[in-house]
Amino acid sequence: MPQRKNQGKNKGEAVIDLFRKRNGEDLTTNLWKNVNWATADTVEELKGASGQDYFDAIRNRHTSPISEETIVIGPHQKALNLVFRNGLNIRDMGNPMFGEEDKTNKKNLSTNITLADAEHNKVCVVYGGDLLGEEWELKRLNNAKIIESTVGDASYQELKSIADEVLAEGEKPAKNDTETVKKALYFGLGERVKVLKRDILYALKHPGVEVYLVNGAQEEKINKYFKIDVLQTVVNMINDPRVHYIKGVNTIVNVEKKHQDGKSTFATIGLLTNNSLSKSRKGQAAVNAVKLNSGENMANVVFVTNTNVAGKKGPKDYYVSSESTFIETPAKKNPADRPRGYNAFSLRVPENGEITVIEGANTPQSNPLEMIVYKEFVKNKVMRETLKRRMTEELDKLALPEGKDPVRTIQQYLSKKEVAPKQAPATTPEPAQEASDEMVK
Amino acid sequence: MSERHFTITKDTLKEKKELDFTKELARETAYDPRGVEIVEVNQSTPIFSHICFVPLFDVHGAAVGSNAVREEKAVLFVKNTANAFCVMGGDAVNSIIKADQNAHDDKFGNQKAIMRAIDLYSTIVDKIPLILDGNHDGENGNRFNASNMSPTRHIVDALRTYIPGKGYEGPQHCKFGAILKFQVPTCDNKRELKEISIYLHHGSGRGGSPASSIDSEFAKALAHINECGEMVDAVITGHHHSNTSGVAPQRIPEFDENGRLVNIKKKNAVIVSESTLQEVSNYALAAGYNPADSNVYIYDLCMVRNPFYNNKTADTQPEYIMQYTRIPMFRKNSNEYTDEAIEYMKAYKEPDMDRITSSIKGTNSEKLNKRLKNQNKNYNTVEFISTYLREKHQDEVKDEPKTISPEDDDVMERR
Repeated sequence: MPQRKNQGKNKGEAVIDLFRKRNGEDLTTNLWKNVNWATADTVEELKGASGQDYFDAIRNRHTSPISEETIVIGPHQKALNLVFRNGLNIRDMGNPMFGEEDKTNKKNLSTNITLADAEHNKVCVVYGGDLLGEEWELKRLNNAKIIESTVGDASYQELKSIADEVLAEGEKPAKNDTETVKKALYFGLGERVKVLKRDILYALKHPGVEVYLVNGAQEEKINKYFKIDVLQTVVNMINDPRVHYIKGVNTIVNVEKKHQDGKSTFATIGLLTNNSLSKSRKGQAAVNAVKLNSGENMANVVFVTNTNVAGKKGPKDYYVSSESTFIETPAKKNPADRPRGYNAFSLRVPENGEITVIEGANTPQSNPLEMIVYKEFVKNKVMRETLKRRMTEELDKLALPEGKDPVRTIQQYLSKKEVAPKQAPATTPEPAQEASDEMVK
Repeated sequence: MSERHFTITKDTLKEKKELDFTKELARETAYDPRGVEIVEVNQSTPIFSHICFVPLFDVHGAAVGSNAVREEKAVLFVKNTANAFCVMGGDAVNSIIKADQNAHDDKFGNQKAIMRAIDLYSTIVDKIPLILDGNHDGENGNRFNASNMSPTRHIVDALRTYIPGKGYEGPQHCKFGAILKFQVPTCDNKRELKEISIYLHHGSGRGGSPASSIDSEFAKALAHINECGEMVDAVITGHHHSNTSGVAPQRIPEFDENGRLVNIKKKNAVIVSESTLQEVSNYALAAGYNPADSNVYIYDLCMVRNPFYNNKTADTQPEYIMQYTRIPMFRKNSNEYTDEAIEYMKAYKEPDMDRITSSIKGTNSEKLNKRLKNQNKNYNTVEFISTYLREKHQDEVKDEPKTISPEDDDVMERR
């Protein structure tokens, strides 16, 4: 029986044989080529990796669980106040940042930072992942909505107020020129990075604030796709010593509290930021999902960001609220509102090292005027009660007669001294004594 | 019939309330009837823009493992802090009968536990607006346990005083749920009076895990709150000993006068499943409670302007929202106050009453009257005292001894 063509060889091998015949080259020396099969041109020529290269790649793939950054609380600073800012979803249409369009989100950030009191505490704004959104992929451009927009609006003042959001850098709005253009409602990675940079610079405007950037699921996806470290890029763009980068999505950060005697106490904070997969809304289910996806974190206090829940869910687990509008849901489900307002914490590291966590970085301080008013109030209360007691004691002694009006009786009692003394009944005057010698003396 | 030599004061108010409640309960078919009472803290002049709220849930006084030192220190904190209020959230007393199958154990009996609780909480009776029933020390439904008595009832009766003509003064006894309301001036320069409302109930059932207890209690709370049509700022429960918290978005509809839906307002409510003071015991170990997580928490509450509020969002966002800071009172595994609790107590220290009393002691009545008049031009000593005495006189007339008719006499004998 005649042999069938390419018997014993798979399709790939057959193609390589063909290529070899066409080009007369020997493919036995492990030379891999990126070949344009249509033109048979070699695009790139690379050598195959060795086993050592493989081991090195695997080793470098995982980031260290302990961050290189250390947060230092100075001797005159009472506490470490953390203000979390995660789930920004910059320029996403599906699940946008809540209150971004009317700037109330930034106002909220400013309020939180102000209440954290950077004068007496160490204030850190932690950008805890899921910052750059998901809709930067090119497939979104294909399906982007086309809008008509007017450039160079007649209302110059209005445009000037939101100039940085609408216009590109360096572009100025024309005063009277109006032009209607068609735009694709798509925002690429470059635009999103610029917006993130502006957000960080806004936070840094508040004196005494430091910023920490942490990767989330969205950043990890971007890093994989573009083969860059996007948050490192942002840090390099800003180039400010107050901006720090904590690599990894399940990390532990050391916190050092310096005391006035020169000694230091250490504590640890855990950050779990890759939790977009946890689409569960219920408390325990979200906790279980986080453990499944991210594993345990052995820090003193663990902050978990980018889940659908917010609150304290364990002895040391604090689930931080996000800035986006809706919770994450499986596709095609109607999303509910995201819980908000659980993103500020105050950490105290006393000398014995047992970290205390206060939910809410608002440093409660009494208003001295209120205390003055209260003291006067208490004093008045005591005076009134004293008067009341004295009056009733006196009146009990008086034995209020029946049928008498108590008001009149009291009036008479109180104005006793003012009432003219009763005139003595008219009597015949005694004869005047003659002055004697003794009286004169 | 000879005249009676003693006066009988018939407390019709108390009996009527009890009877009404029992009738209502008899009509209820649910196991745990949904009764929500609204308790407003009456402040003649709300001074403080920050309220210090200290809920004491699941103290389990007299139980083995209950930290009595922490309980006493918590009461002392409330006493010494000017803007502090305390709520006894149920299970203040363990109230059990020792039995083999019961994992709960007490150090001393129920009677002594009640006496101790009365003695301790009477020092802050003016700062306790309400007392909730717990499953150990409550009255109805699933609320009376093996001892079949309600220590809460005895504590409430001892702490309250009856003022003729006015009714009961003192903590209100809420058997299931309560919405506690405070009026506070806002933190901005306007100092408008706004209301903070907190829903409280002890809790019931088995949560299964610390995180899931929050969800089950919030679901129950929502069912009760929606009936009242209220929008609360916080939901505080206990029972599960879990020390967990959460934030839940609320959506409350607004209707116009015709009943048409016109608006849906959004607000985030804080939910807390409070910690306990029952630390290591057979029961706690059997139930899997974490003794290291037991603590008492101080809530610093204030009303601040909602940063998300503006003309465009006025329909969906409230203008002022409650901001809270939750501060642990005690250090971990220690009975010492935390530094933050000490700072708070110092900042809001109650003025020294002995000093004030001694400064007033030697002062003439006329001078006192003048001082009070100077402080408040509308204040009139005469009118004040006369009104007081007039009321007293009228009440004396009311409480005069009545002759008892033969019919009443039969009723008294039956009782």
